[in-house]
Amino acid sequence: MIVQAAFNLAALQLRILGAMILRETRATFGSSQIGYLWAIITPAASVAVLVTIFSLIGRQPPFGSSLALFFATGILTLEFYVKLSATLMNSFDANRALLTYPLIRETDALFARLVLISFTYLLIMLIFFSALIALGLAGVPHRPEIVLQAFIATAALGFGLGTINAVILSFWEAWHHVDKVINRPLLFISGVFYVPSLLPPEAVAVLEWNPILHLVEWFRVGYYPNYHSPILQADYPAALALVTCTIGLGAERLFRKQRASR
Amino acid sequence: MIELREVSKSYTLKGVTKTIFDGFSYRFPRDRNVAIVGPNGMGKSTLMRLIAGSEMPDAGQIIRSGRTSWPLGFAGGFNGSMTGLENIRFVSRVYGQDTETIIDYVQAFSELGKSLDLPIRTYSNGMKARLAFGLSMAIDFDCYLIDEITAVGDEAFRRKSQAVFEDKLGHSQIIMISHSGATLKSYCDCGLLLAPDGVFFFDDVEDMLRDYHQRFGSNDKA
Amino acid sequence: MKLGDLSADGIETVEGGPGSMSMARLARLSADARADTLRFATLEVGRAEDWLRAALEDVRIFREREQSLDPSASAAVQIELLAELERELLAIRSRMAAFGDRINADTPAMVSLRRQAETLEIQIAEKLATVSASQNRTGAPGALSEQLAAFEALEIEKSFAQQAYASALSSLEQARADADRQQRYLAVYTHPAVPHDAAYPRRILNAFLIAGAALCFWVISVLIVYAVQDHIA
Repeated sequence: MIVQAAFNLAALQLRILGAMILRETRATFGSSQIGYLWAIITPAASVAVLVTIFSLIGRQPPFGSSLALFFATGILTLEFYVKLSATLMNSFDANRALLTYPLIRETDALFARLVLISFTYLLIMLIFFSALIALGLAGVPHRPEIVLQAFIATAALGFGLGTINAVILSFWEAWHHVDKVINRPLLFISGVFYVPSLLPPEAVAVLEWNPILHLVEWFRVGYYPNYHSPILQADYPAALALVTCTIGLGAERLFRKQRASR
Repeated sequence: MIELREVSKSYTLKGVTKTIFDGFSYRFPRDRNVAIVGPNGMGKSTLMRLIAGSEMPDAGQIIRSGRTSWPLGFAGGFNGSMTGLENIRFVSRVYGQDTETIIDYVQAFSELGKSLDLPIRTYSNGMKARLAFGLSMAIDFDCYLIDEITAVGDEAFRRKSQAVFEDKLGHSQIIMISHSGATLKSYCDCGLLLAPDGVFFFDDVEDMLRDYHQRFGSNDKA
Repeated sequence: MKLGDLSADGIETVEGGPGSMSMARLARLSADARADTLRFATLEVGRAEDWLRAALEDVRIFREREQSLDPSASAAVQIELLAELERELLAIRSRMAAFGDRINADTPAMVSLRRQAETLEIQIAEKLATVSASQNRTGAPGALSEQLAAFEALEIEKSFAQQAYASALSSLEQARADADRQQRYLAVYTHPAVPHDAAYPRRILNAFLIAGAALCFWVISVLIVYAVQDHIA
């Protein structure tokens, strides 16, 4: 009896999640048919621009022989995090209308966005790295399981911080701007253009507090066969992800009532 | 069957706490259509949302058996940038219905035609109401929660709605908020009056409307 | 190699355990290497010994067969005798020459002298025949020159064998000396520091961390289950 109820509940949850994901796909990637395609093209374009600039000024790849691969490992991880946290942050506002349907809860929107963005970036990475491999610009990932771990950690951290941001935003609308200010320098302090371990110790001492940097390094350690990263401490972003997820989900539930009355 | 047990609900807005319900218990009569009236701000819509489950009570319990509709209002619940069809698909997926059946029904009922392929934000209030009404009628609920909706549309649409309602009434229950006494009288057979000094149940809609007018003056036609 | 111990007073364990274990392993390796080198040297000595013994045996057999202790010595004796005879012959001939003009050849003194000279010449010829092999091949005991040649070959063989034996013995000695000098050994590079308090294991910290992580997982799970249950609340 209880098993049956749990089963029904799970089926209901999956049904709602599925419907929400389809709806979010439209909401997040626009109404045009190629909206989803744009999501794939955008990061590819930013990598291409970087590669072009660096090639023009005659810079060697900071590591390995392929500029494209080096930048892709950094940019895709960073963009995944930024996109996920930003999408989750706006989740409550964007889905206010949905609360009319009693079956749908605010957490459903969070979970749907998490699944959608993660799946999208998984797809982007698959396409992008396959293309690089096909063009001879990259090798196959050395240890795919580590790459996957880095990906999951990125998703968890993005979910945790995104949820916390969403809760803060629902009480303080200026948080939008604060978050923008915080996120802006991420591109430069996350090791996208350089090998962080080769920086002077003073810089490392500051930069190693940036969890995104660790995620980028984690990804590279899994992808490159010989990428040694003394700076990488995988437990740091993992622990942070765990804590932020707990705080985020807890805060969402704790402040649900106050949020609803606004 | 819907039952509220010791339900409390309050809102805090700009530091001011307004209590709507405090330990309110009520069991809705089974198989009777209930009209809810009361002056603005007494919590009619809140009660509706609580019954639907779109809102959680601060304390207490709400017990429902059977499928309860979402509170059927004017615009709520549609995503403006999505087309009418997409919104229909979404709702039917959430409620686990067959998408195509629902679309066929809503198309036939709402008479929106090609407008269904346009984003909701291009719809007039009347079109939205037709869509919402058609959509909720397409799904078989055991209890329909209607918040000021039937007064939309032209005469033909109203007759059509009436016909569908009559049909549904055989096996479904209606809980309705309206300022129109005529509407209430034609659909409901008992009533709930939310007043500052308490909640009163009337076995007859006429009695309730009379009491309502005595208390709050006559700004509605009885 | 980096070693640590989980308690502050575990220094002996660190230094004694893995340290002495490594030492023992190295000692075994050294012993093996030592036995290896010694085995080769000993084998070499044995081989030289056999060779020398065979050479000495050959000399002994030769002596028995030729019944001569030292053919070179007996050759010297023969040569001495020959020289003696020739000297005598020379003296007789000079006397004969001195008498030649004054005394008739038929005088008894002259005849006796001539006879003596002839006897000496025959004796010299005989002696020469025994010394030189080319003129006489009467067999064993063979001609002295042949004997000498064979003997000298044996002597050379013997001296080679002796030298080989000596060098084998000395290299065995060398090998033993090398092996006795221990070649590989383990030295403690840095002695373990003795801490006041053990930094590891961070039992309390780890317990907290694990409890915290478990708590987070639990809270997340519960919140997700609640989020799912909300749908039928």
